[in-house]
Amino acid sequence: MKLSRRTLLLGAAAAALPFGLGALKPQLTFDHAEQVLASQFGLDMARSGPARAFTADFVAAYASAPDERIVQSFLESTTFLAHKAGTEEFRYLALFEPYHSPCSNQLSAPLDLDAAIA
Amino acid sequence: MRPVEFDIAANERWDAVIAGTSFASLFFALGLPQGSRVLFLEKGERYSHPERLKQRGQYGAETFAQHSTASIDKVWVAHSTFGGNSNCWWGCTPRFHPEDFQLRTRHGAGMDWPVSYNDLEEFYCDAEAVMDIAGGGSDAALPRSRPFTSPPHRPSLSDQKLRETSPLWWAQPTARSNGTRRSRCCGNGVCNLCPIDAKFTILNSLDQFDRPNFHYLTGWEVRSVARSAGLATGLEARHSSGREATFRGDMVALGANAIFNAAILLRSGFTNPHLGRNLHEQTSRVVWVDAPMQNFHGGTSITGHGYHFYHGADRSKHAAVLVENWNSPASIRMEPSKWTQRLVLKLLAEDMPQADNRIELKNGDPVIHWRGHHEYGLEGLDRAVSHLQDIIPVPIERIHLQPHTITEAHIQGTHRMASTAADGVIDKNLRTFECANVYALGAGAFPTCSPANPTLTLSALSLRAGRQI
Repeated sequence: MKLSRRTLLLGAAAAALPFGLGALKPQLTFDHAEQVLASQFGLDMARSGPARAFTADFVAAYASAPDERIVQSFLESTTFLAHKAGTEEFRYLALFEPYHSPCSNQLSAPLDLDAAIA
Repeated sequence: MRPVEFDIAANERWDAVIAGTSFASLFFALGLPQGSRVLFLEKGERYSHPERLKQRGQYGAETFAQHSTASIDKVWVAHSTFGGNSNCWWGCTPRFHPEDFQLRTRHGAGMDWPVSYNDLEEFYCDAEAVMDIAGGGSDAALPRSRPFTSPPHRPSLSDQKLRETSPLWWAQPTARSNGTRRSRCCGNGVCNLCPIDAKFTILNSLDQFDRPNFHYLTGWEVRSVARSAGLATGLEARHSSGREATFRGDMVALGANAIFNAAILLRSGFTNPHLGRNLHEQTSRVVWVDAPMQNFHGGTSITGHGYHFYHGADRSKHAAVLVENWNSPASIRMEPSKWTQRLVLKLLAEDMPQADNRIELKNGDPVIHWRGHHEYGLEGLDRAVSHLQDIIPVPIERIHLQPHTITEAHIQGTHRMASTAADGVIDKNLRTFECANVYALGAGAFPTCSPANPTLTLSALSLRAGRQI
């Protein structure tokens, strides 16, 4: 079965990083990063202690970042997905940076498929 | 394997003098008879893994002059440093498919290799054992006489789903360790310089090549083959200081890479009409596939392989395509609760070698003439993209097609092997037709491309060639 042209979106994101992360935005602020997390995970989650600790570290580490990078880093650096699956309490581990915390990537950590979010 | 003083190296007559210290050179030497006295000449320097981590960069990166008329940018990646590209590879080690060796016979395209899958099988096993390859599940397409030395990595959530629905999805065989001999890969996604040294490199596995009579010199670039009365007498090299010397040996082998090997042979007066021609590598694209299927949480960077466009594919008019399922680095969807419902796939198509894609010498240095990938490869890639729904068991919502990648860091084909000198530069034992004691190793030997990564195959070929001596 062939895919329709509508389904194929031609290379919108030229890959500056291995798989491209969208356009950079200037001067990342704590409030903006928190708003991005709130838009994806809800205001209560974005304002929780672990999430705020993540946001503070992220903003300190990156002067600018596309919104996708903030969200991806949140999923890599916290137990959010395992928490959603009901297998872990929500915790912020450490800002995932492969040369500082090489084995803390939560998107490469085991997750029970049966319990995973539908 | 240990360093040697220049005076000793230059005054000795070695059993073999070998250019380069990457996969091809080391596996060739490993195959030589026990007790062989071998000198390796490395253009670059030796840096430890901690030094590489400190600099966060790759040492010895080469740049090549290139005249390109292609519409797609092309970069050729090579590193002149001890261990060569083993320092920066991603550790992807599929075997070639049995049909890769018989493209002409089976599909009427390209040419056959003078060796078969069965000829290489035991050497595949041995090379996999040296590298401690983790894998499993691929036997139906890639038959093997011995099991992998390590079990496959934990599949991602999407791998699990895909493998439930098709037997043509399985774990990517990889030299990213599953913990048997090196640190277990933990999927950090920066395999070009692994922070925990989990992937096989020449440097972290020198014990596998430890022979008392193996010695090396760094800082010496092999420039040409010294010949007398129709045979090689050694390798002529130039130090980074400008000093020149000849290192004598009963045989010489070139494992510099497919660009430098060709340049060395051309400088040395080799005249085979195929020499320097048929430069090629795979053409590839990354696609993000948004679909209602959870992804990630696998145990390594690339967790899955799909052979739907490769095993049993019609390759008469367009290329076979290998599908890689990536776990890390991830790409996520900016849609609440759908963040991980995205597959990150890389599609790799074999290219069809073309004589006009070639290396020539200008003022003694290699210049690449590149007209682009063959339509055979590009059409195979397009076809795979348009048939992705056939291999994904849930409705695809959206595909984000990334631009063609500019490199696979594979350099192939410039001194291809063949049954006769009329068709190639070297024979099935990687020996040049023009000079009986000169060997040209590495992916430059490949007569056709294969969509699969070349390192395991070039290592097995080198090991086999060494064992024939």
